[in-house]
Amino acid sequence: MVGMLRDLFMFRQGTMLRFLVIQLGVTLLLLELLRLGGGLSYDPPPLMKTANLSSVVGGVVFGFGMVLTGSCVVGCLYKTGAGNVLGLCAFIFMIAGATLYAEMAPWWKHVTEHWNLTQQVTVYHSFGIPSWWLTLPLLVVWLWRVHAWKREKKLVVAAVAEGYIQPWKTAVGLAGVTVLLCVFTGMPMGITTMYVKMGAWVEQLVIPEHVAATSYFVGKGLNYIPPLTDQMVSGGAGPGLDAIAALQLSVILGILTGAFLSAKRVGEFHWVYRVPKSQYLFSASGGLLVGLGARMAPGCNVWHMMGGVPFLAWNSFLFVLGLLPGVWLGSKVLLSRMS
Amino acid sequence: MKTIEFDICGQICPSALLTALKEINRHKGQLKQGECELVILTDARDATRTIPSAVENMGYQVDISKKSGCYLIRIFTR
Repeated sequence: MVGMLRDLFMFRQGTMLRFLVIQLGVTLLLLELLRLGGGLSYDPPPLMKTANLSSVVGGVVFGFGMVLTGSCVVGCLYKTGAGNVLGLCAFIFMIAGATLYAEMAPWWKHVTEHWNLTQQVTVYHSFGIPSWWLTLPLLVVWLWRVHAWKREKKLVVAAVAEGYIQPWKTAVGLAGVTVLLCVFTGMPMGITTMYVKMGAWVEQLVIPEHVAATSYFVGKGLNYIPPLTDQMVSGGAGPGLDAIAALQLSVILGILTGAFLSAKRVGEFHWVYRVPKSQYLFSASGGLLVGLGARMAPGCNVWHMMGGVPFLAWNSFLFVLGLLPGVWLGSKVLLSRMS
Repeated sequence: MKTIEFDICGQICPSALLTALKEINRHKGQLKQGECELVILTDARDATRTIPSAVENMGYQVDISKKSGCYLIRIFTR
């Protein structure tokens, strides 16, 4: 996803953005069908917040960092799984950035408490209309556009990398995964609270009294009854193995394992650490900002763009509104530094 | 014809692409005259798409092969 947005500003190329549009459209369609069929237990999902301008600021910080580090919160995982040391560096600093947020959370909460735009989570709840009033016209435009791309043969990417999967297939697959997660867990994919948790694990080993006294680690932001069960579960950013760990750690481990197995299968797994020092610097500083931005928003690009936008959630649109200038700024900095 | 190799294994895009473009610009005189070819060794899968796309737009020929888990991107003028 980083390349899709970055290449738009850096090289004036929007080729890969088509596949994000495909993913969004398929998710929008499947979610609407599920909603109409009564298959959505939570609408909006738990953890989707009411509209607040903090998402714009978080989006700017996230987008800027994402371009510098070359990965998003998921990208660094599959790069790490395939043995890329810059990916691992980004991953570690994203954890550091997300954990750093725990220290500034009370201040940020205080600053943004009057930044609410509406008390509703989604656009259709705000207007008090059925969701299909909005999704239907959007899907008509989407179908027309995708059909045009297909006719112009713009949906196939020429690639020589062994085992390359055409991006449109990945987009459809990710839409399916998002919808399945909504059915079985009640919410789309999100992983950055787990990044704070990982940081909290380290802090717990070194300064346990500080962890116990930090309100962000103590709070339980998630309290809900998962679909297909009748038991209340809860979870937060603290070091405990709770519902957040069950939901998000499994995704993180799954991506790492999948990337490792895939890289092994095509014979491309190897650790290479001899890269220019400046790239470690970009990776570390960008990773720190990505982790911080993901918590300030709150939510990362995966949560907002793959899940929130198809749910027509205000905060996700605000996040994208901040993400774009952040990516533009990051591209400018990177181009000037590289030249 | 002289072959100039450079190894950018470990680098990810866009740094991999920008490093490659920098090397191409550095040797563009020889490349245009057909006096040399550049061979880029990369393990960034994304670069096997972005480098050829950018280089072909600049009027060069590209050939890609795989060796020991890395990709060799050969840039030359016919």
